[in-house]
Amino acid sequence: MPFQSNASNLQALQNGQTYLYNSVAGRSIPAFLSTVAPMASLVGSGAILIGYDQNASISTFRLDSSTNPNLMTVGCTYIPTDVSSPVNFVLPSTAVKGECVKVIGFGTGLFKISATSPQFIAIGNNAANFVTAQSQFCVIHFFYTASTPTPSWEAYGITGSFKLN
Amino acid sequence: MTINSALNMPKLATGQMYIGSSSGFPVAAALLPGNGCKVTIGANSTNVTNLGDSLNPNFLLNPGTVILQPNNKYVCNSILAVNFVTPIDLTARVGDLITITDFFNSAGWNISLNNVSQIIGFVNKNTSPGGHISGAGQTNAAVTLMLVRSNPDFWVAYSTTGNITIV
Repeated sequence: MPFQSNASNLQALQNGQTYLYNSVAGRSIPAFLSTVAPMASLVGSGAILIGYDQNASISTFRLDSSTNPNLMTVGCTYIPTDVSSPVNFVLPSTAVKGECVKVIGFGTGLFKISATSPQFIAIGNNAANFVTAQSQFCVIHFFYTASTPTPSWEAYGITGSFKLN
Repeated sequence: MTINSALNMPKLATGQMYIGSSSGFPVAAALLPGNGCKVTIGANSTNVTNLGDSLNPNFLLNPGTVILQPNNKYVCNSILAVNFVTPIDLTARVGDLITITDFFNSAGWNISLNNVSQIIGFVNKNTSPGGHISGAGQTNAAVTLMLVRSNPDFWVAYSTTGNITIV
């Protein structure tokens, strides 16, 4: 079948642009695909690549205690780097069921992770308002259950030990 | 302003779209999958899905020494312990992952450091300069490494299974 599109009114595309329909203009116009961190698009000549941005400033954060308290964002990884004081994290106050965060211990100042009421932390068969790492390279993952009225952040993939409060 | 016309617009195949190129004319191409994503194309559709921590798999059978690559998964299936070496500095970026697992009835693995300045930390202990961590001599030992500091690289080991030795 011959190419039948009436393309005579389409503007030229720049590298990595494609045509997206614009309801205001009433026609397709050149545009880049948009992404929300930690997703990113990488464009080249005639190519668009979609993936997770491994840039540390977007999806993985190294933080010390000077920025306490550190409100976490779903889908992100946190590396506490302080060598003398605890780095304090607060689990996201809003999340969708199944969304995750994780903390990879690095600094000797250790770290603490809190939940904002009515959220709580479920760890094994215990419930806690916050957990504190007990050694330098402790690691902990969380996923959100969204259960009401007591939405929990379920802890899993734990390395090292944590104190519960 | 340059106006595209039917003469310089290529025919689209399933899942393709027009993408601007340095040639001045659009090309017909599908979206490409980047880190952690899968792209599935169909007639009039393109789906981008999250692979999560499903890293690129590598299945190893008596491979000798293997230089680890960031964001890859290695499954050891060898009668001898597989000897891995961490990536050279500046190859990986903070947040990058490497997972190593051992196959049933194989001999485990060792991870040596690429240079004497690199370190692997596990729970409350660091490797010594030029040291290593090991899940050798056992089946089903597993570890995940995340880069937490770059150049010299510092990896943290976690989500381990089996007895891990750190030297």
